[in-house]
Amino acid sequence: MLVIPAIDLMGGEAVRLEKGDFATKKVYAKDPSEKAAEFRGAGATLLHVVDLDGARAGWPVNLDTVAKICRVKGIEVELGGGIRTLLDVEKVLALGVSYVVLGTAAVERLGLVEEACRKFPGRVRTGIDARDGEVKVAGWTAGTGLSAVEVARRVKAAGVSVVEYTDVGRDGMFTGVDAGGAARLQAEAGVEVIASGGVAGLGDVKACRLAGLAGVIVGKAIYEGRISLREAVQAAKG
Amino acid sequence: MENALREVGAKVVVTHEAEKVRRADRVVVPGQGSMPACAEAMRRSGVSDALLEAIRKGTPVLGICVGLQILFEEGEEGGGARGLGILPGRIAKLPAGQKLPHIGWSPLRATASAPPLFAPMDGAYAYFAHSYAAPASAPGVSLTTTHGVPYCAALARENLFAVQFHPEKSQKVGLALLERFVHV
Repeated sequence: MLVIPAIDLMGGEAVRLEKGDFATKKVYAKDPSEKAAEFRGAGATLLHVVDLDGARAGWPVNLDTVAKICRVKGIEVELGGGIRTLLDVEKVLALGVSYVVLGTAAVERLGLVEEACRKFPGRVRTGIDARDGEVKVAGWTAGTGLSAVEVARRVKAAGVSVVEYTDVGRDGMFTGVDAGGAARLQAEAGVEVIASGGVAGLGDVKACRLAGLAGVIVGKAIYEGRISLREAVQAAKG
Repeated sequence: MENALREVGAKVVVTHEAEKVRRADRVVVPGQGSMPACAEAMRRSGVSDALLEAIRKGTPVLGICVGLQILFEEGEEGGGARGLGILPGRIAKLPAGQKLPHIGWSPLRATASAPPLFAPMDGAYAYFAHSYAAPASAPGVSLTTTHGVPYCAALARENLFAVQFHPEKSQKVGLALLERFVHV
């Protein structure tokens, strides 16, 4: 199983928010590419980058920073946040991003997901952000009335094979990851699931591995020193 | 349009040549006819690719009326139109029950994200002439107006700007906008 460290970008810096609330911003690195190199050194092979400014604007914003992160050798980058047209998918993949994560688009515009999967097979993932089982979009500010399983089934039919499931209520809160919910999603929708949100310690990483998940995204727990990325990568190997 | 831009001090070249679009300091896309016809003509002449390049390299671009609509992915005019796909979403017909086309003056309301180009137009009236519009929820919407439903009157995405109304027919308010655009 992959342990995937997260970098959230705002104004070119690596930041973290609590429960997706833009008012709770805390800066962890002025130069996010240095963090990327540090994470690679700890054994991570994939980096989860979220363009928070992009999520809010509706198009990718921190492109220079993303390009700089992509130039760090030996670690792949998946990018989400504000990618809502095929042109934007092409643009960020051209920067060196390995996988795009479509969030809002996966719910509102399945046609785009289909088209992107056709054009860039294996490189399109969808983020499914849910609170109390209901899928949230647009920087977690709007509800959809759709269940996570329903959205996962739809994107699978559109050609997506990896879904990233975030429990918005747990993100940045150290309440423990929803490994059970992620595993149910994986079983019921028949897609690979990467869990994120709420990871507090190595126990969460082990729980995700035992639940048979494809990976787990770890953010604040690393930045706040609650978890050692190196140990987490080891724990994921079993 | 040409006269209005000259009026505010711009040196104007009217062209459908891709090369001239690539070299321009600023680009205005007035949009001719229907969305399908306009998008198709721009693709055929290579102007759409030149426009995409210009936007990508940071040239200030202003789309007007159909010049706004073609920036989106698709439209329902004339049985369906494929736009340039720079902005996500669909250009839809204004709701039935309203007089169409909508020709006349409507008040503008600025959104919280309106850039300096559009923010001063909050509360002003602008001149519209259209039956199709972009949704008020489109990313980057800076001004909205209402004709049956609220819809996008102006939007901004970095160096890309577009308006559904006609600045060249919106008198002082319109000329002031063009003047700001010429100095962006």
